[in-house]
Amino acid sequence: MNNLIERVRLSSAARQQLITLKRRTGIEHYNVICRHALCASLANKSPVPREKMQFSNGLEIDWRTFAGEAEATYLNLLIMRTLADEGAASAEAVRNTLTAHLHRGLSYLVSRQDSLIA
Amino acid sequence: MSKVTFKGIGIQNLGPFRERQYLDLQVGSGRPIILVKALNGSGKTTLLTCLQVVLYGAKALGNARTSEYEQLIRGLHRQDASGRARIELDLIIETDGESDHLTVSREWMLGSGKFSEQLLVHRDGSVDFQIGEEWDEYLDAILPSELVQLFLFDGEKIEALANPKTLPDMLRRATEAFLGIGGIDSLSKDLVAVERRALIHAKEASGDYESARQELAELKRQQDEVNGAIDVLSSSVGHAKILFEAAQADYRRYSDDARRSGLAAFEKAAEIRSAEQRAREQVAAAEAAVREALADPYAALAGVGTLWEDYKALFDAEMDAKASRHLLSEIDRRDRRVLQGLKSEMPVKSFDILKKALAADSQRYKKVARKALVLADAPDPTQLEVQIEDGARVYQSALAQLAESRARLVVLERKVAAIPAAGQLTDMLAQLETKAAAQSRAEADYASLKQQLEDQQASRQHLGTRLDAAQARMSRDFRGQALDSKAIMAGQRTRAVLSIFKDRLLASKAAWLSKMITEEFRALMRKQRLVSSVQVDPQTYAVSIVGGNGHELPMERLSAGERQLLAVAVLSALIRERKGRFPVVVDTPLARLDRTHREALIRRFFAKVSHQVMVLSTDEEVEGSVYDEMSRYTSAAYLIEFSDNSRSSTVGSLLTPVES
Repeated sequence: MNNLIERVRLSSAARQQLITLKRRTGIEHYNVICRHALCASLANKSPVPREKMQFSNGLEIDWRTFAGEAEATYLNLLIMRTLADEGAASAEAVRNTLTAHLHRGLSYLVSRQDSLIA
Repeated sequence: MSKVTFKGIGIQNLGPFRERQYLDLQVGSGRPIILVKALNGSGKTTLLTCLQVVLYGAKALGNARTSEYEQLIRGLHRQDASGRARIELDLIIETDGESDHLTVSREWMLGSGKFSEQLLVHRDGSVDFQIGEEWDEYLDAILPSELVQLFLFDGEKIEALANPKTLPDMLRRATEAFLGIGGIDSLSKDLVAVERRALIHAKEASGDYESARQELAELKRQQDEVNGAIDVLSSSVGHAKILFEAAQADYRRYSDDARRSGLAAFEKAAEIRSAEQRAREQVAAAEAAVREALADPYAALAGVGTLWEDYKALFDAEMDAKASRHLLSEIDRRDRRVLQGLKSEMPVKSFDILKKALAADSQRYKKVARKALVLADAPDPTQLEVQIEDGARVYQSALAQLAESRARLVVLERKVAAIPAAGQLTDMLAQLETKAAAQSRAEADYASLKQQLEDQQASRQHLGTRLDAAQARMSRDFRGQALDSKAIMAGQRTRAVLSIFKDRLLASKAAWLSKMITEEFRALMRKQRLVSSVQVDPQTYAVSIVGGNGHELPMERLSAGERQLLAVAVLSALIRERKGRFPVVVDTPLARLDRTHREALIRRFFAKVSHQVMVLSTDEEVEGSVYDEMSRYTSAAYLIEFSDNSRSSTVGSLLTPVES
C-alpha cells in the first residue's frame, strides 16, 4: 500500500484557488493549505461529484510532501472515505477520492472569508 | 600740741668732743635763754648738728641719702675714741598736762666698714622699746623734720632769709612746712609716679590696645555690612521666589493646554510609531505562530469531523483482526506442536477429538481474522488524538494571540493617525520654549539669590563668633588699660586740685604772715617810720616792704643788718605760728647786727620767741651791754673751749649774772 499514491494533481482552477489562499493566509507551503482543504472536504459527508478535470496549467504536489509525517493516516482516511463513497477501495478510486476532495476543499476554503487565519 | 623742753645734752666722741660733755639746758620761767659761747671751730656747729641728729637721725639732713648721713657721722667720729660715739638728749614732753621725761640716745659702731646706729629711748629711767621703735613717728607728731630747720637755725639761714632773692622761696617753703604742705607735695609726687607708671604701661599696651580696638571696630563694621546685605537679600529672595513660582505656573498652564491639543501625541509620536511598529511585528509574529500551528501535519486532521470516529473504529477493528490472526497463527502452531507431541501418545480417536476440538476453538478467531484489512500501517488514531488535540489547542491559542495583537495594532494605528503634523505645532512649541526658558531663568535667579543669602548668613555667624572673641579679649586683656587711663586722669585731676588747694592755702596764709611779719619787724626795727608794713604776695610769696609814705620800699634800701632783722622777723612769725612750743636753737645770729639791733633782737626775739632758747654765739657777738641785756633772760651760760693739747673741747660753765 505504500506507494499507492505518488502525487496529487490539481486543475488550473484549483491552482488559482491555491494561489489565492496562499496570498490570503500567508501560508508559505501549498501542502499545508492542501491538507486543511482536504480535511475540510472530508468532514463533509456528502459525496463529491466525480468530475472530469482539466489538469493542464495545473499543479502537481508530491504525496509525501503533502502528507508529511501523517502520510499513513491520511491514506487510511482516504481509503475509508473511498470505501464509504464507492464501496471498494482500489488504488485508482483512492486517488480519485483524494483529487476530488482536495478540489472541493479548496473551494470551501476560498469561499470562507475567514478561513484558517481569522 | 606738745611742749618740748630740753633738759640736757651729752656728747662724746664726736667732733671736738672726746670725753662726754654734758650741758644742762634747763631754764627757769622768764629766763628762757641758754647761752653757749664758743670760738669758731670749738664745736658750736657740732653741738647744733648733734642736737638735730640725736632727734631726727638721718632725717636731720633733710632729703639727703643714707650715705651722706653715714659720711657725716663718720666725719664727726673721732679716731682716738675709746668707746663709742654717742649723743644723748634728755627732754621733757608735756602734753595735756602730762609730762614724760625721755632720754633719746644714739650711738654708733664704726667697725671696719660697717656702719650701725643704735637708737634708744628711755622713759623715766628705763628703756621704752615702743617709743624707741616709733621714735620717728612720735617725734614727727610733735615737730616734723621739715620744720626743725626753723627752730634750729644758723646765721647763714638768716642771711639767706635776708636776701630778697631767696627770701620769697624760703618763706614759701617754710610756710609750706608749717602748713604741712610737704604732705601735699609728696602726695602729688606719688600721683606723678602713679601717672608715669600708668602712662608707661598704657604706652606699652597702647599699640596692642589700639590694634585690638581697630580690629574690633573693623569687625563691627563688617557685621553691619553683612547685616545690611542680609536685609537686602532677604527681600530679594522673597521677590525672586514669587517670580519663579509665577513663571513655573505659567509654563505648567501653557504646557497642559498644549498637551490637550495634541502636543502629547506629537512628543510621543516616535513612541507611538514605534509601539505601532512593534504591534505590527507582534501581529506578524502571531500570524506566523498561527501558520506554524497550521503547518503541523496532524493539525488539519482536527477538522476531519466524524470521519475520524469511523477511522478509529475501523482501525481498532483491524487491529483486532491483526491480533486475531497473529494469535490464531500462534495457536495453530501450538496446536500442531501439541498434537505432534500427543500424536504418538494418544489413541487415534482421542487424538482426532482433540484435533477437532482445537480446530473448533480456533474458529472463534478465524472469523475475526478473516476480516479483510484495507488500512495501511498507521499510528493508532486514538493515540494520535492527543497530538491532534494539542495541535488544535496550540492553534486556538495562536489565533487568540493573533486577535489580541490585531486589536492592539488597531488602537495604535488610530493613535498614529491622531499625531498632528509638525507644522501645526510650530507656534505652540516656540511659545513653550520661551516659557520654559523664562522659568529656567527665574529659577536660576532665585537659586543664586538664595545661595548668596546663605553665604551671607554663614558669614554673619562666623563674624559673630569672631566679634565675641575679640570683645572678650578686649575686656580681658585691656581691663587694665581702662584702669590705667582712669588712674592717669584721676591722678591728673587730683594733682590739679592739690595744686589749687596748696596755692589757696598758701595764699590764705600770706595775709596772716604779712601781718605777723610786719608786727615783728616793726618791733625790731629802730627806724619805726621807715617801714609801715611788710607784704607777702599770696601768689609769689615775694616779700615787699611798704614804706612809711605808703610806697614800696626796695629791700636794697635796708641795711644788711636791717635785712637780717627782717629775716628774724620772718622766722619769728613762722615760729609763732606753731602754737605748740619747741626750743629754738640759734647759731651766731647776731654777727651782722649792730649793738642796738642786737639788743632789740634779744628783747624782742630771744626773750619771747620760745620757752627755751639756746643761743650759740662767738665770743664777740655777746659782749658788753649786749651780754647784759641777754643776761636778764638767761638761765645758764656755757663756754666751749678747745684745747690744742688734748685736741678736744670741753664745756665749762660761765657764771650766770644771777650768780655773779
